[in-house]
Amino acid sequence: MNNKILLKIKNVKKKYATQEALKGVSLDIYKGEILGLLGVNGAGKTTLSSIIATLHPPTEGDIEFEGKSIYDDVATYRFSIGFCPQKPNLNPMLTLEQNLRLSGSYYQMTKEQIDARLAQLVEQFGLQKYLSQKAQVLSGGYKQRFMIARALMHNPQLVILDEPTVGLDPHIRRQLWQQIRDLKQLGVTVILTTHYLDEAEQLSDRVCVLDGGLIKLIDTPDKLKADFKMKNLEDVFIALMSEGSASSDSGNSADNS
Amino acid sequence: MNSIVRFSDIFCKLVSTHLLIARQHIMDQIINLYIWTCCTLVIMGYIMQSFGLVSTYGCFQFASIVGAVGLFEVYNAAARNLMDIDSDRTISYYLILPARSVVVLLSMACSYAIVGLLLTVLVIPLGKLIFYNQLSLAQISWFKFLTVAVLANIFFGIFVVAVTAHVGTIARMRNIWSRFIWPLWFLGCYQFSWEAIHQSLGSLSYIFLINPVLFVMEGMRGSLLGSQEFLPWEICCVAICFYIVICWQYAHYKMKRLLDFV
Repeated sequence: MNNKILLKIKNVKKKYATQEALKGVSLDIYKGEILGLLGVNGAGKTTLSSIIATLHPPTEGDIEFEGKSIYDDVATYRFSIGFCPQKPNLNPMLTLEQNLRLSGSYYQMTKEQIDARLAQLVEQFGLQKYLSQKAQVLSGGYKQRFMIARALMHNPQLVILDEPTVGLDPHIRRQLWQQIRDLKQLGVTVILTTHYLDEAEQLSDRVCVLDGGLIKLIDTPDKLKADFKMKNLEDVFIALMSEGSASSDSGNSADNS
Repeated sequence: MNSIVRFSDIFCKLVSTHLLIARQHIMDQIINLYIWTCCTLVIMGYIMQSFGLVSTYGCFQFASIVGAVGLFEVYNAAARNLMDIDSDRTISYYLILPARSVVVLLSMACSYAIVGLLLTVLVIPLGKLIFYNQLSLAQISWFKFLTVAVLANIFFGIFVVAVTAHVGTIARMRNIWSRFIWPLWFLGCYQFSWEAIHQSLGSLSYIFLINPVLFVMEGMRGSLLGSQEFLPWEICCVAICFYIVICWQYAHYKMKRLLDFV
């Protein structure tokens, strides 16, 4: 990780018809880091990651990539990112090889580049066995590997992984962790949304805790553990959440009184 | 300029992806279309004459079927889109590709139009086979036929996107047939000409002109049967172009609301 800001999120808000999912999130993401996005259900993790991936627009605010607003030229920004959503969305009507090859072609890669990149990713993620199959036959772990491989097909600078290990067996999770670490070795910046605190602790250079659509805290796992005098990130998180509910309870009491 | 080239390239690749998928069930579509066309034409062209239908009604119905092929594909195509939106959401992947979102929607519409056009053209030999002596290929204006077939299928392709966006979820899929296809089809001069409505209803017949399918039917009949009893072919083409623009605006607006894309 270096100190060069790759992505600058500036007061991003997202309102839906009945709720405000993000209430003004500002955050800098540094080149080459793995940033863990943590939070309870409904905290706004998926909303934030899908806005960064340009799947949805923010209601307010801006995101700058290398100093320029991504909304000035969304298409060019999209060349620099790879997004792996929470729910695998490989095309079920195509073989997995077709899914990967077409992905490369959408990003203007030549046939030679696609061949080379495909071979590389197939080896890195151990995908050979399933290349000629369709997505339905895959287990959850392999689906995720193919999803990550597809997100990486065009060599993006920034990869957004939205709960990539949810519902996977522990050993498959460990394998994916290693693959995420490998991305960092290659200089790829990773935004990792996760529910698993051990995962965030193991992988993240910094963690960002979202709560109720706002950033509650952002720091390195070691710093957080030291500040809270806790042994692991899970204890920190629980302490943080209890603190939040206690203060909101007292806030409610004050309102009531 | 650079982005136009890039967007065009992605557009072509997306269209070929959709066609690659469509190829997997095109034979089923052709077989289904032939079964349905055969049944309709044999009944309307031969059996119903004993109930007093004129002998030329079979050819009239044939021209209507050629025009309606794209319309009947709307249900299946919209249902597939809705299933995707409610399950895998592969469309979400396309919406983050390095192109504008309109490129994705247009590529969908274009691929439906290509499939519809192919099916439209494939009905012609079947019609000739069934009405061998009654239907003269020499009287078909091929230029007019291809023009109206292309325009009609572009309209139906965009209509698929509009219907998908309007219905929004698989739970409301039954609405596609009863609220969209059925009224457009039955009030769209499928079984009669606009002239017949005009004679029966007088000035009320002008209300029927809000139905885009009516112009497809009349334009198709004008090009295939070459008769003067139908609305002028040129007016039909202009009207279909007008409905293409209106339908596209609606499809884009509703799809943006449904999928909330950038």
